[in-house]
Amino acid sequence: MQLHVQNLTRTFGAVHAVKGASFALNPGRVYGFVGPNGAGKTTTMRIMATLDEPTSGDVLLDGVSIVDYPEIARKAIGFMPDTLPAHSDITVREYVDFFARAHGLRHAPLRQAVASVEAFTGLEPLRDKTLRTLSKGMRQRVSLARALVHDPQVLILDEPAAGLDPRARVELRELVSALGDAGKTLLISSHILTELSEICTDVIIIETGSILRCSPLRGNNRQTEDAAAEKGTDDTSESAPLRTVAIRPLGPPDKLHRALLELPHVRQVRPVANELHADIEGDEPETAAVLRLLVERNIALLAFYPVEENLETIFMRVTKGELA
Amino acid sequence: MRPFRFALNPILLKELRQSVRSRFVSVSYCLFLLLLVVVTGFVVWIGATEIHRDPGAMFGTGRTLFQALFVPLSIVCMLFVPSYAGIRMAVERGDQHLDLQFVTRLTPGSILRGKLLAACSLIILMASAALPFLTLTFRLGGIDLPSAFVILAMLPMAGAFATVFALTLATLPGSRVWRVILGLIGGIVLFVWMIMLNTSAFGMVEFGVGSRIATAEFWRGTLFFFLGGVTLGGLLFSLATARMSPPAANRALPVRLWGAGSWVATGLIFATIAFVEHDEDYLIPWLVFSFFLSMAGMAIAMGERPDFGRRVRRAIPRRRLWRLLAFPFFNGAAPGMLWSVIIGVAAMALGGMAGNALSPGGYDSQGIDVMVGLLAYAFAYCQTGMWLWHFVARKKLARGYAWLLALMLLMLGVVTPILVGLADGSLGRDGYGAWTVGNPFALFDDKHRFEGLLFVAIWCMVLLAPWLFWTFKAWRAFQPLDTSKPEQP
Repeated sequence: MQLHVQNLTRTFGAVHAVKGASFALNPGRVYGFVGPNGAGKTTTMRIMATLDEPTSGDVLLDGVSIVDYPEIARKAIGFMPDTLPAHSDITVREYVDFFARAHGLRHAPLRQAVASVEAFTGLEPLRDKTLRTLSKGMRQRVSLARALVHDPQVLILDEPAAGLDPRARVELRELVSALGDAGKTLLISSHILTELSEICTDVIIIETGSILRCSPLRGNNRQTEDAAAEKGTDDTSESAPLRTVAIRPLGPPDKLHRALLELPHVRQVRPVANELHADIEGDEPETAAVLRLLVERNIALLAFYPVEENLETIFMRVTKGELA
Repeated sequence: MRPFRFALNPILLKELRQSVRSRFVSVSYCLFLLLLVVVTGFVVWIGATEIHRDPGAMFGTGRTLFQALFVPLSIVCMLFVPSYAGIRMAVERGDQHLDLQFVTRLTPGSILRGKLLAACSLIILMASAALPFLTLTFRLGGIDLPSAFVILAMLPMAGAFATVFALTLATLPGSRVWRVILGLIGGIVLFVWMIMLNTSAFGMVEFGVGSRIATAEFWRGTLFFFLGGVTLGGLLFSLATARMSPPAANRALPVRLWGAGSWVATGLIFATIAFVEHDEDYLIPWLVFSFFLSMAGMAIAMGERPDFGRRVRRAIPRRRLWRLLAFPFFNGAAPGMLWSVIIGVAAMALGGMAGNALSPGGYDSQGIDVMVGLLAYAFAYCQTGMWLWHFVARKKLARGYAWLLALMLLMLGVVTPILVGLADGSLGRDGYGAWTVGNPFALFDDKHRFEGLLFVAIWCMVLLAPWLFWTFKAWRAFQPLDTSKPEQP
């Protein structure tokens, strides 16, 4: 089940919370949705969960607009908001049971679904406790159980780890990983980048309402989806992968900097400490070609190695810390 | 064959479970019981002391106790439970923390039904708590059983109606301040209804229903209130359903279907009574209902979008005849205005025809004239307001508030003659009449009715051509979506 966010815009008066955001979520992948506070993450997620409506743009679920047909999205999408369940005078079992019924489950499938999510989220021992008596971590689990009870293919989790103690965080991470392994498409927003990088396959970076980057996280071959997003499209099929290599010259880097900028495939060069980091468009053959051309130009090099970017460095490099 | 399995409304089940565990509900229930005990004890004690002085007073103790118990019971059923249901609904639908039950597969109708049934269950729970005390009133004497039964049957129905009203208010959009104001207005309305219910219940207790239960007059009155309650309650319910439906959906359909259905049904019932009794006055409530239905329809239609969304277009029938019949029932300003005009014009025409048939020659058409004039004014103000919004205020005012322009024009039409009259001292004199033409309420004055009708007729004639053109344009655009072509969102 593919989810396409197309040119999504949401304004609140004069404030543009989301500005033409475009990206796609593919089946079986876990997407980290990161951005500074007020970047537009929650608004985007709320629209995707049909809790809010865009000012313009659309979200397509397998080609069907969820703005026009929210009922269709509600079958396929599970949403865990950043707020905890507001109901207090109800037990865990009754709460999950209600949402299972609300999603149309009845009789044996209902009992099976409730028991299954209780087991998955570890809520079995707490099923007869009222929500009022639960800790924040436990209520987060209830919230996750609620989002999972109708077995959605796409899960949207907004700040699932916020305010949790370390143990609850580890447990939640394990649950999320298990969901990813089960083939669900997940979109998770979080401020804890190290945790996200452990569980996510892809990252979507948003700032001031605009998508800055949407690319796979692993393998140092980030797609040029950020460029595609800037253009307002989500078609990255023709974009080449982008690799970053660190090059340490013998002596001052000026000559190397000039030479790199003249080479084909080199998209950007920036000094980092006593090295230069070059973004090379292409895969390993293009990287090898750059190295060969530098050697042919008699530039003395001490080191030439690929830079393994983690989520934190990508985030810091891509974002500017601006607010919408 | 699939076995029948009863599926409980999930909202009802959740609300009842919450009520059972809610401290607020259980404490309120206990306090209510305590109040009933105190009231009963007090009235019986007073009654006992009265009997010592006047032995005849013992026959009135039951009646007094019934009235004393009915006041807290009606407060609970007409104020407490509806407000509780409405406030909960408003909080759950708050912009910041919209309850996730609204993003499940539950339909707006089933959510509202669940909330209404849960509130009715609470009303029945509270009423059943009072039943032992009310039984005591019969033992004490002074009240007949039919009165008690009729009043007690009336109470849950009035409570259900009040709950539908509160739930409808809770679904209306707006800022927090506006919602608080709306809640206060709603509270005042509920309070007034509660007072009215108490007054009529006290009247029934005093005069006794038993002696009138066999009369046609009693059943006509009962039928009138029952029909009125069901019709208005249904309209409010369909309005609330529409408010909770996705904006892209054909929100107008449930409201206009219910409106048209109840209009036809009540028309048939009132016409039958009028012809059986040979009295055209029985048609007046239906004409008044038609008038308000048509006027409200026009005001609401002003705020609707002019075009048809993709979702709405998917539901448009492909056959031309079906499409023609379906047009007034679909979302949109033009269909809404057409629906309202059809209801209004048809009601007035049928009312006039029925009046002539029932009293050939002797039929007094003044009432119809006033209503036709008022409807024409409603059309003229709404249509002018809409054009004003379209050509002048489009960028400054959201379409949903276009009705404010019609209201402003109406106020201008009402206030201007008074101001002019005050300025030149003609207010109250005969010469002042010419200025009243903008004031629909002047139609009630026999002296100036003709000028008013003439003026509004000319005004409507001027508006008719652009309105017909606009409606025809909307009809041309009322085409089903071609699903063979890929959609562009």
